[in-house]
Formats: sequence, C-alpha cells, structure tokens
Amino acid sequence: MTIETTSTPTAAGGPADQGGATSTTTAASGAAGVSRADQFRAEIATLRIRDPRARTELVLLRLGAALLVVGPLVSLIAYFVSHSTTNPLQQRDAIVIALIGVAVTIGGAAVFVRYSMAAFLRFWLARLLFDRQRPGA
Amino acid sequence: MLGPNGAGKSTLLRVISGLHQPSAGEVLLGGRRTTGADPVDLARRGLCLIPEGRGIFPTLTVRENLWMMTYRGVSRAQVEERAVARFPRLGARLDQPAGTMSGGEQQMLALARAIVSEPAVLLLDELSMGLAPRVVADLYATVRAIADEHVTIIVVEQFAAAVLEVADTAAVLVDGRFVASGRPADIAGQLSGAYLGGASAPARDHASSGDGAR
Ligand SMILES: Nc1ncnc2c1ncn2[C@@H]1O[C@H](COP(=O)(O)OP(=O)(O)OP(=O)(O)O)[C@@H](O)[C@H]1O
Ligand SMILES: [Mg+2]
Repeated sequence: MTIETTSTPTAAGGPADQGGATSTTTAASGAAGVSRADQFRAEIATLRIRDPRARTELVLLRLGAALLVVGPLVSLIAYFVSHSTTNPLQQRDAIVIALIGVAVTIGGAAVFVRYSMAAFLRFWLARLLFDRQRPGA
Repeated sequence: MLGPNGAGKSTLLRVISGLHQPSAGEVLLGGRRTTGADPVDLARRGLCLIPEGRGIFPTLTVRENLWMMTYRGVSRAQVEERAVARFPRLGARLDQPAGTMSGGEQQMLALARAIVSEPAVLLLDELSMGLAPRVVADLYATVRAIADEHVTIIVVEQFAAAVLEVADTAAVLVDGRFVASGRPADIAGQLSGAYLGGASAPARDHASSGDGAR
C-alpha cells in the first residue's frame, strides 16, 4: 500500500497560515515555506532501516553466550599450559592468556546481559503500561 | 478504510506504523520503502498512530498526556497551547486524570496529542468507538480540518456515514483484501454489497448490524 503525501503548492506559496507551524518544527529544515510533506519525505529518505532487528539481537545474544563459554575455556587452557612447564617465560605467557580469557568472559557477560535484559525489559515495560491502561479504559 | 470486524484494518495500520512485519508486500512512505523500519524511528519522523480504544494514559492528567508529545522538540507550553487552541474544552480539564473524562473528551485528547506533534501522516483507528453520532460528527469535522492542513490521514471506521462525508477516497477491506475503492459517494452506494458479497460467513452478521446502525 502506498501513502502519497501530497506536496501542495498552496502551502509553499502561503506561509502566513503556516507561520506558527514551520517556525517551531525544526531548525534543521531551515528555509521558510518548506511544507511538512516535503520535510517528511526528506526525513524518511534519511531513515536507516535495519534488517529484521530481532535477528541481530538474537545473534548478539548468542555471541555473548558463546563468549561466556569460550572465556573460561581459554583461562583453563592457560592453566594447563602453565602447569605443564617450569619455564617462567612460558608461565608468564600463560598468565597473559588467562587474563585475556577473563576479559573475554566479562565482555561476553556484558553482551549477554544487555541483549537478554533488553528483550525482558521491553516486555516488562509493555506489561506495566498495559496494566496502567486497564483500570480507566 | 471500511470493513467488517476482523477484516484486518487495525492490522494494516500496525503494519504501516512498523509495529508488525508484513509476511508479504511492502509499505511506501513518501516514495520510500519503509517495510521493517523501527516504529520509533517512523514516529519521530512524523508518523502517528492513534490505536483502537483511545491511546491515552488514563491515570495521567490531561496535561501530562500532552507532555508526552514533546519529543519532536516542541516545548511543554507550546504543546498545551496548541492542544487548547484546537480543543478549547481540554483547556478546563488540564489537571484532570484523563481516564475520568467522557469518551468524546478522551478522543479529543488522543487527537490533540497527535496533532501537537505535527504529524505528516496520521493513522486513526475507530475514533467513533462508543461515542454518540453528534460527537463523532464533530470529531470528523476536526479530522477534516487537520487534513486540510496537508496532513495525510488514513481513517479506519465502522461508522461509515460519518467518515465518508469528510473523506477524499474510500476503500473497503474484507478478509485482508481491498474489495472496493474509489470516491466516498460511490463506496457509500456499494457498501452493503461489498460487505456482504466478499465477507466470509462469520463476518456477515457484524456487517448487517453495521448497516443497521447506518
Ligand atoms: N499478530 C497476529 N497474529 C495472528 N492473527 C492476528 C494477529 N493480529 C491480528 N490477527 C487476526 O487478524 C484478523 C484481523 O484483525 P484486525 O484487528 O486487523 O481486524 P479489524 O479489521 O481491525 O477488526 P475490528 O473492526 O474488529 O477492529 C483478526 O482475525 C485477528 O484475530
Ligand atoms: Mg480494528
């Protein structure tokens, strides 16, 4: 379905009746007499449309979960590397690798919480709004 | 946009405003494909949906309801001023909880909230629900006045007579498909045929009761 916003020559020609409106809409559109429809068309043109949004969130959620698993694994491997040698240089490398593992775990946890909480909080907020609507409606 | 209960009118409005993903087809706004756009992004750019059954916050005051619309960079004072200029009745009720107003006043508030944000496209879903014919006629006179200020408006309505009087174009939706569209006068004539001819059995009694109301 197509919604045609009609750009009207009368609106452009007669800014007097629109004066209050155009002056307040936005500083960005600048020139007086730019009709609301043209402004809308311009703003829609700059709209960034993400591909199905839920999908990227799901991917990030899984990435976070994967990092949560990989991080401790890296640290564990570093432990065995350190354990199986008496060479202090190699052990220091192992310490660095273990710290990277910890960092990856923390990063993964942050991503995971962010994207699992986002979904949860949105649901919770919607629920809250709905509950507030009911008594009066 | 007219049609029997369950025709998909509200669903179509939700698809246009980005709240639903269509399984097929696409939405074009101002010449641009906006299917799958974030509803928040569309709202910020001036697409406004007034959902079925008064999209207001009943426990907040009228004033607070209006303040919600300051996101487009309009100040609170301006928002109040514009709303009261259009609906003087709201002026006396600014500090009253919105849910305690009459149905007609609540719809006025819903409309006021929509127009203070200076929408470019306004989607109205059954403004007339539960209102007296007189109030409905007044509301649609206001809707016409808003449309005359170059706002594109799509109205979904069961109360066909009231809206056909002010509409530029009319369309009948049955079972998710447009079965008729054209000038309101022509549609008014075909209305009962379009409702009854294309509708599935369960929609039939709704359609005839709708006709009775007309
Ligand atoms: N998310 C959904 N998933 C599946 N079915 C849905 C969904 N949303 C709506 N429907 C169904 O689609 C049909 C159309 O619903 P819609 O609310 O658009 O009807 P309507 O034309 O607005 O009717 P009314 O005049 O009663 O408001 C209904 O049968 C409804 O149950
Ligand atoms: Mg509906």
